Amino acid sequence: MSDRWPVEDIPDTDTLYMRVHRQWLRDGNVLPGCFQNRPDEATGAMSTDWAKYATPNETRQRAKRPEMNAVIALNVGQVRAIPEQRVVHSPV
Amino acid sequence: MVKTIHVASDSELGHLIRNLAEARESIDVEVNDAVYTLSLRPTVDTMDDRPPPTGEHRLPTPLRVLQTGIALSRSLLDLADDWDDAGAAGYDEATWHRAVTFLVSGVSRLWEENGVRTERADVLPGPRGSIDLDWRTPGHELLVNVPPDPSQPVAYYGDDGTGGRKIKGTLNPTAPNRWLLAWLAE
Repeated sequence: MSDRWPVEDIPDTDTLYMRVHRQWLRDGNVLPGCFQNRPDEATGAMSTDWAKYATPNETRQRAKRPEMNAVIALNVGQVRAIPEQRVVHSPV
Repeated sequence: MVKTIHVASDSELGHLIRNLAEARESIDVEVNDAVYTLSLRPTVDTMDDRPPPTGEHRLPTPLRVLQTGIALSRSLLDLADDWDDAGAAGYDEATWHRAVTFLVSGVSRLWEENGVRTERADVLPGPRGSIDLDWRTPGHELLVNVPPDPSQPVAYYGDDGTGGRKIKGTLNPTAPNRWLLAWLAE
């Protein structure tokens, strides 16, 4: 939780943007191993951008090497439909 | 006469043999007053001890089309920690070797024992230093995750390619796993 930004509810109909390094892509598909909790996340989670506050290009440009990354769009409701997956707003 | 003795992978002898295989050397084993020289020899009856004489992973001739992709997957070893700038771990050669040995042996046995040709056999980056295998036969797709810690079980998920007839669990990659080949051959 951030002291600077209010935590909001993310509707199921909204979209998340996620950077995907090109090594995680094969034949236009994202490899399963891409979806993992990241060590730099305090909560042990995957970090994505909420489309309410970011564009795909802004998400891409936040990579250390943007040219090595693609951006995928995830529907919030479909992510929540995956067992044990949650989507929560954690502004930084 | 050649006799195969099965050794538990987590036993002291199992570790010794694994180290021997990696070093490609022979070692002397003293038993009472006699000394026996133990050297690496490829065998043909288990999924895990089938390295060909050159140490390269080889498939039967009808499946050689898969060989190039498997060999090129060795480039995964060039990926250092944080290769995706998001904290992804690099890959150990031992993990890659276990994964490829399991895949090549299984693909070969599926052809030789069941007459089923593998359509795709991809060796892929997995999460946290693990290697993923995508193994496809007519009517089946199997995803196998080989962890970097050999003491940890190998996870698998399979279906008919459209999400039906799912199987999921863990397996011992050094076991014959005939049930798995039977499922892929259905």
